[in-house]
Amino acid sequence: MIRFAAIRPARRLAGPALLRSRCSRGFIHGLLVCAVLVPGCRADPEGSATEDPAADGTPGQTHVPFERLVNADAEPHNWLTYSGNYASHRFSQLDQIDRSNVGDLKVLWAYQMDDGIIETTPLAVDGILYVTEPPSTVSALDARSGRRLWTWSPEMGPDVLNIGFPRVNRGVAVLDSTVFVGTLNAHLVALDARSGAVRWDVEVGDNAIGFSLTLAPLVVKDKVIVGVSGAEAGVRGYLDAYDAETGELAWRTYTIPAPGEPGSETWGGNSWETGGGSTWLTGSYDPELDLLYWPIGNPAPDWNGDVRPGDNLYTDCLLALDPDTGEMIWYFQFTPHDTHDWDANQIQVLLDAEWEGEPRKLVVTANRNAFYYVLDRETGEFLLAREYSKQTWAEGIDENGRPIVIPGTDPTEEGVLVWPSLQGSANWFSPSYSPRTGLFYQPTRIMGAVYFKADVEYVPGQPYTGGGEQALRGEEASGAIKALDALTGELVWEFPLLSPPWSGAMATAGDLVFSGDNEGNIFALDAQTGEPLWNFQSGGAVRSGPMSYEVDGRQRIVSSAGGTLFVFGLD
Amino acid sequence: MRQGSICRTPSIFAALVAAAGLAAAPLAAQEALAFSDGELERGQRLYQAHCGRCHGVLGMGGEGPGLAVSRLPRAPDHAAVIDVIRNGIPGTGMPGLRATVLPDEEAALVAAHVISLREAQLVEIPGDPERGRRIFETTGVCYSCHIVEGRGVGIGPELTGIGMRRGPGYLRASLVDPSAELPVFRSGARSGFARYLPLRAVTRDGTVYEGMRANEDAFTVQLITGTGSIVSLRKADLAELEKRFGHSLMPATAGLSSEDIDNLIAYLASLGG
Repeated sequence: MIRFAAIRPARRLAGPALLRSRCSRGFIHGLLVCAVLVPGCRADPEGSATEDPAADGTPGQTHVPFERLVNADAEPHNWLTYSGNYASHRFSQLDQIDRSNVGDLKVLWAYQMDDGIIETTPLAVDGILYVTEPPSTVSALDARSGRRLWTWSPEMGPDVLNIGFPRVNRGVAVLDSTVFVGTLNAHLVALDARSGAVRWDVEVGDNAIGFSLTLAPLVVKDKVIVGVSGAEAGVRGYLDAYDAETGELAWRTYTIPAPGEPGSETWGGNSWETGGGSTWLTGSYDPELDLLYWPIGNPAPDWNGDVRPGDNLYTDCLLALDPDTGEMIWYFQFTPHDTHDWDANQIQVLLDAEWEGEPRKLVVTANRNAFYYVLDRETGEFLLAREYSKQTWAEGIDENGRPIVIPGTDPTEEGVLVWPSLQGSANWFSPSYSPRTGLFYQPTRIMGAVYFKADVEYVPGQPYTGGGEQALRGEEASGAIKALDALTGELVWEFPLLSPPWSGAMATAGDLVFSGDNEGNIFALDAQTGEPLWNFQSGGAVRSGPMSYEVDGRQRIVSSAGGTLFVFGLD
Repeated sequence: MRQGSICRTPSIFAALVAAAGLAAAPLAAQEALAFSDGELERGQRLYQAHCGRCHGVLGMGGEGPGLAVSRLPRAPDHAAVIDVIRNGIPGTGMPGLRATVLPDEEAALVAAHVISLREAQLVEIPGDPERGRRIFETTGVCYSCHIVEGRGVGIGPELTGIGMRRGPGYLRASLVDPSAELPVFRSGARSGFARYLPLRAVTRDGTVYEGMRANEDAFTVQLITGTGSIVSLRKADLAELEKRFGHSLMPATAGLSSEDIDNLIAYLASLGG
């Protein structure tokens, strides 16, 4: 029996002394704003605002040094990084909303965005929500009322390319008093957290040949780590780190080795030059091991593997990197020589557990290829894989972690029916891991597709995919929220959905799992049993990164649907 | 197991063409559009893979309308056919095919094949539409569930313009064996879901509801009963929810002669034509 340490820190832990001393009375709007707007501040009987000594951050001012990101679990009222913490648990320690009262949840406010698909996860920092709006807008909202404090949009023409993905943005990163956003035209921009003014703006890649940014950047120490989209345009992918102060490029690690570099033998001819390997979803970080974990996307062209013989490293891999230098420490490839567009760009969840009687540092992920993986995150050693959703392409995963591919499952000109579809069993939308239940909650797509292969020629700035798919839809496809044993991948319960979902999940210390579906429901399930406890019909498809925060001592749940961000609470 | 049901093999297609005694690629269209024999053959293969399921491998229609007709009202020329292939036809079952599924060059070849079908004019409909109309209004009691041009009862599919949406073979199957294939949403958020799906729901207190699915999500289901009442149910309140695939609330036209059925088909095919 493997046991998890129950992590239940007291709420409202006092932050480090240096943070508490930062409360500035000179805040731009003065005492009144501090009293009415900012949690953690309160008006004292004499009528002057008083700093709340228990507050973690500086009221009304965003100031998030790296130490706060490392200790994000100690600030359950905030949500400081894309996946909630560096281990990417997307788990809220808040427990005010629980199984007994979740049925009373109601919309407290909503924030409407312009046309487009919302895939953002807001950050909550001491009373302010930082949200992104499609395609690349950042807005700061009063976390209490939803009223906007500022907004910023990049100057982009209508001809900005987005080849292989919609015009979306998934969120920002924050460090100290700066907010970082990646844009559709492949810039990384640093914004002043108080005003939205640009501090610096760098081009990460050339949008004219297909580079783009849709992910939330990840801050590690003094660097902003950001990955690129573009494999469907035949880019050669890389992961970048920028100095957070200056925007200067600190390092760049290519995901496709050049001739002579390790792994280059897995690419035939010159195929490496257009080999794909995007880095389009936010990675995870282990401060103790000081290792950065970043998933890598599909090889290009997607469906015609003939032009790129070999395993095509490091596509469809998980890379462990030195965050200071970008040096690759280890890699693990989930889908060698992928011909189905099964990027490994899923959230990599870090957890510590007993493994065969010994404490072990693990990284787990539900891959797009329909297998759930457990790896040792110090060494990259493969420990376990288990099918968690319908698939017809592999007999299984061998003892080294390599799939045993069923012959005849590669795309053809006539079409071949394979599960899962190119969008995979999982995708960008986040799973959640609850240390209280030991379960890994995965919104799961159960969908097959007829895959086609086509001739393909690389033209810069054009799709370079070599085929496509016709997915089975409607009654022939479905979805589920699956609760997997995080250490074995075994199904513990599932909640069926009518169609393959696009929303992430978030578990909470109230033993709830929040998620959403294409049919418009934002809902809560019992984290232990999967029993549905609450749902809200939003009227728009949910493609959300759900999160939770606290304002005025009250827990809030955030999800988006259609063109609207919703904030729920008990009162 | 690997072969998708939507894929027809070229050999089947060739056999059908041979059986129909037709040339595979009529010359007139070929010259007018300046496509080579090889290109038109490729267009034919692509058509059969991407379009054949609904429009029939010979273009004689099926779930979608026949394309081997003298005139395509929504797509009179090659460019218009490409436009329909790319963008679909809103409000109908015709989806748009993205360039990732069908690149521009291939879309042009498919459109060339569709134009060439026009020359073949394969779609023949026996029967007398005027007699069919009378059967529709009298013996068939079709207005009791269907609306045509504003008249009738809206329980089953509206049939105004049905001739532009369905092929004669599909219409025949719908009349003779309505449960064989239910209409399916072909575009929009509900793409691929059966329409008019018969449901049987039993609540925890034993009440039974039967009707057709109007909508459904993970938590609720809405159905329309045979008398046209809307019933809203929460799945949490149900002891049982049976989706009766392979069934239809449309009565089979067992009492009609084959001639009457031909006439009905001729009438329906004329609607919207």
